Amino acid sequence: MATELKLSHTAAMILKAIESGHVYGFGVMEVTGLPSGTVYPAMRRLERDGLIRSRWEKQSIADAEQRPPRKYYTLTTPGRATLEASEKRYPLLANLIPIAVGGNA
Amino acid sequence: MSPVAFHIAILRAAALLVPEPRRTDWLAEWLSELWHIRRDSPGINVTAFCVGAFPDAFWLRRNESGFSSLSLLQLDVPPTPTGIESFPDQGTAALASPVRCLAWLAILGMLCLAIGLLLPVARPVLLSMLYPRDLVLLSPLNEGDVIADANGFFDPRPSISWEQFQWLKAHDDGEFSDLRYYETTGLSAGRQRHGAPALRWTEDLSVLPDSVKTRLVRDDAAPNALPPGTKGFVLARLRHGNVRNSHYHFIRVSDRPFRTLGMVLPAFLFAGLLLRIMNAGSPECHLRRISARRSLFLAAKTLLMALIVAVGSLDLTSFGHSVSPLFLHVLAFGSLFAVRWIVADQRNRCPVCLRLLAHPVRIGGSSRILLEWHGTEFMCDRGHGMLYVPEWPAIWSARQRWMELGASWGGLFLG
Repeated sequence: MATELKLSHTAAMILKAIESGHVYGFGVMEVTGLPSGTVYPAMRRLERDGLIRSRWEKQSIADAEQRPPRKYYTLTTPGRATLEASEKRYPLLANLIPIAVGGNA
Repeated sequence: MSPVAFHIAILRAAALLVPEPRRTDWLAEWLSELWHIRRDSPGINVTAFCVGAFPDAFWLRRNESGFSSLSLLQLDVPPTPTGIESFPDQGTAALASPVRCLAWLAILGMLCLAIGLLLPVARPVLLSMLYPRDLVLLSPLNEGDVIADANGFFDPRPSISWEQFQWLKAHDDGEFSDLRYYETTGLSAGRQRHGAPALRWTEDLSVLPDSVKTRLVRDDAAPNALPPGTKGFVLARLRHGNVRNSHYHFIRVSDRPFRTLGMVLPAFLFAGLLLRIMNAGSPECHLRRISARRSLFLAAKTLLMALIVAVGSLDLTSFGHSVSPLFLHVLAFGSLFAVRWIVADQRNRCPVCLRLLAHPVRIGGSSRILLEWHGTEFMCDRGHGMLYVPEWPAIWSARQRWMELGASWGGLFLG
């Protein structure tokens, strides 16, 4: 089951970053300090394992702000459970990731 | 090319690796991120960000385009309850047919050649393969090998560079008064005509550096000193103050030929010999089925790969003013991987029709190897037979085994 998954420290950091409100790829990169070649494949894997979910921003919102729409990532229920287990395994994880402005943590 | 176009080009190149169904969505996400980064984070290294798209694309390709060779090695994958697990076919349809495989390799080889001819460093090296081996060069110094060293690693241009001209003029107080390529028509191997040989000036000066325009001076005495069999020479005069002090010096191009292809082919032959030794004593190995068609395909594939590796290595190491000494390392590693691919590709082809085997099915489990056969089974699309590749070698199945299917099986296949 997903709750039994043991995440690497990097994957746990990315999961924590998303949970802290850094909901798109570059935001996760900025807050974790990891390169794009690490962050994006890790997010693909987390999405494949059902720990996070992606969705495209509404085109109307992006049009109103005159920019291309972004793809946002959110935690799923198994993702939250896995993160809780990972936080027990990596107690300092919460200290590494600051909460984003308007984040949901 | 503007930075924006360059970064978009990187992302589009990476997108080619992404499986088709996900490509549009993947590229849209990366382009959107790129747009936001350029607007919000001007200090970031955008190129490094874009290069990170390649690992992402590779990950998707490995994990979403179906069966990968790596997954075969994952021993911790639990077997399905039936002990049989089928995989989607590999994304190698373009190489499935032997003709298409050779066509793709030929295109790749031509592409490497075209790139090499466009690169200013690689171009003279490639063209030098067309020079007559017994062309004679004039050396402005007393020791002919000085030019070879000064011209840089693997730079066999039958000439001296413009910088050397300038250096010699500055340090030797000399002046080159002419530099022309001649073809001798009066010299032949073993015998020499009496008198001065006839000289024919060729218009093609592309072999000479920087198209040096100088006055032609004919010195009929110089060709008499050429060794028999000489087909031509480059003649120049280094003048020290006056014509009396001029002197000529000749070196032979064949003293320093470019041996790239000559270096690759022995490596390939050695690898082939090694493979033959490794497969000795395996009566069940289908590699022993030697047919003319199969041998021809292997030979053509090897020659094309040798061309790709040789010219590709040259292209990759042609930066700066000369070919980098890293050339030999790239060549060695390239040859290794090329031979490995050739062997793997040959082993995964049907010995009858030479098409890539398909429909891999994993059978059994590593924990039950004492009870049943454990490995992967491939099948020829045309129904010629099946290939059994053991994942864990056992006494009864140490090597891969080819089983031919008779004509009675033909109705089950596409034909």
